[in-house]
Amino acid sequence: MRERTVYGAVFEAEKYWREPNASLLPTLKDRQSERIVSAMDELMFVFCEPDDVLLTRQPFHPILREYLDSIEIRFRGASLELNPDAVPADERHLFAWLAANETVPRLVTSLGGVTRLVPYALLPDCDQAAARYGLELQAPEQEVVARVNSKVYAMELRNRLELPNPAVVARSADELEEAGTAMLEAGPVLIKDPLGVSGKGNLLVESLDRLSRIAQLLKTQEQNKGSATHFIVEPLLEKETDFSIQLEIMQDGTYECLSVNRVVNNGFAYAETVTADARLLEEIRSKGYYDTVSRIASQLHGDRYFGYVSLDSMLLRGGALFPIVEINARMSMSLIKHRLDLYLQKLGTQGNLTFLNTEMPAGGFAAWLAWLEASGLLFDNRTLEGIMPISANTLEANAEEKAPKGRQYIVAVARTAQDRARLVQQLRTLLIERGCRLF
Amino acid sequence: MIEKVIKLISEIRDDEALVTELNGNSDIVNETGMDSLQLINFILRIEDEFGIDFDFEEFDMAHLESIERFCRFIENKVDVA
Repeated sequence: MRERTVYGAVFEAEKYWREPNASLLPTLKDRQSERIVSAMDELMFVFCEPDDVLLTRQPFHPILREYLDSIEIRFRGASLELNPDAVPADERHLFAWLAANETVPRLVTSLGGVTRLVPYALLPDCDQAAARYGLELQAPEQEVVARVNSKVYAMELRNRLELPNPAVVARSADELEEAGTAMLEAGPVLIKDPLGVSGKGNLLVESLDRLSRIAQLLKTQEQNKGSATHFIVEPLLEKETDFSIQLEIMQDGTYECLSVNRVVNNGFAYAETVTADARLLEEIRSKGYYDTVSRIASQLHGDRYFGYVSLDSMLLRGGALFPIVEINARMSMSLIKHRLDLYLQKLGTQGNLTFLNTEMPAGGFAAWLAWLEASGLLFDNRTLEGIMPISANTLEANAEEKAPKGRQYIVAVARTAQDRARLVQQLRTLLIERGCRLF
Repeated sequence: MIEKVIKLISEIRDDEALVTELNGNSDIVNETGMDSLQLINFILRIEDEFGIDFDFEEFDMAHLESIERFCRFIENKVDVA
C-alpha cells in the first residue's frame, strides 16, 4: 500500500547548504523577490495524491484550490501561517521552524494518517522536523547532499569521467584574478558560486577592469571577515540548447530516467521548461548521452547519494555535447513539470511550464483568474486547451508593498507547440490590456 | 545624469522603449524590470561609468526607490571621491 506523504518545500535550499564563512559575489538584498520564492512552496501540490498533505508556510490560496478542484486535482492542505518577516532569521525556512518549535497540535491533526515526509530539498533541519512529527524521512546524509549539489563536485565528476572540463576552482581572490585574466584572453568568463542557483551567484565578466573589481570585493571579505573564497571560473561556452534530465536514484543504486526537458533561460535565469521533442532526444541519444547519464548516476550512488536528481546539460554551437553543467540533487522545476505532464498525458494533451513576472493587479489572484475566465483563456479539463495557473501566493507575496511585484506560474496547455506559444502571447496581451505591468 | 542612468538601464534590459518610458521618478527595483543579476550588473556599470565604488554589504536599497534619488547618491559619492 502506498504510504501517505506530506510534501514541503524550501526553494532556496542552496542558501542553507553554503559554508557560513564562504565569500559572496556582489549581491543586493531584494525582499520582494525573497517573499516570492518563499511562496513557491504552493507548487508542490503537483506531487500530492488526494490523501497526501501539502504543508506550506502560508495557507494555500483558496481560489487556486477551488480552481484545481474544478480540474480534478485534489490534495489535503496544512499551513504554518508564518509571517515571513516576523520569524527569527535562523527559523525562516519551513523545516527549521518545525524543528525549533513545540509540536503544533493543529498540524498533528492535519497530518493524520501521514507516515513520511518528502522535502523538495534535504536541509539540515528536515530530520528533526520529521522526528518531531513521527514521520519517516528516507534521505542521504546532509553532508552528502550539500557536497553533490556543489558545482565543485560537478567539476570533479567531469574530470573523473574524462568529460570536457574547461573550469577551474579558485580558492582565493588572487587565484580568481589569475585564472580569470588568463581566460579573458579568449573571451568572456563566468564566475560561479559553488552553490548558486537560478542565475544568482553567477557573474559574467567581460573585461579585466570588472574582474579586478570582483577580485577586490572578495579580497576585502577575506581580509575583514576571514571569509573563505571558493569559486568556479570558466569560459562562457557558446551554447545552442539547454536541457535537463530528471532521474530518481534508488537506494540500491538502480535509477530511473523520468523525463528530459528543454530549458529556456533568460540570461542566466530560468524562463520556461518545454518537453524535449523527438529530434532533441535522438540527437542526444546518438551522442551517447544516456551512457554518460548512467555513469553519472553510478558515481552519485557511489558517493552515497540517492533520491531525485536534475542534471543540467547543454548542446554547444557546433553540436558538441556538454553533459554536466550542474547537478541539482533535489527536486526541481523540471520535476514539477514532469508531474504536470503526467496529469496532462492522461487527458491526451501537453503543456509548457513558465512564469510571468508581473505587477500584482488590484484584486490579486482572484481578479487575475476572473480575467482569464472571461477571456476564454483559462484551461479546463473539458476543452483541454488554455492557461493553467499553478500558483497564487507568488502573485500576492508583496501585496503590502507600494508597488507589489508578483510572479504567476502557469502551464500553457495545447496539443501543438505553436498553440502553446500563442496562448502565452494572448495572456501577455490580455494582462497589458488590463493595465497590468509585465517585467 | 538621469538620462545617462536611464540609458544604462535600457542597455542592460535590452529594451530601447525604456528610454522614453522611464523618468526620474521611476523605481529602479520595481519599475525597470531588472532581475537581481541585472541589478548587480547595473551597479557595476555605474561604478565603471562614474569611477566610484559601492559597498555592497552596506548598500541601502532605499537609494534605488527612484532614479532621481539614486542619481543624488551617485553625485555624493563622486564628490567624496
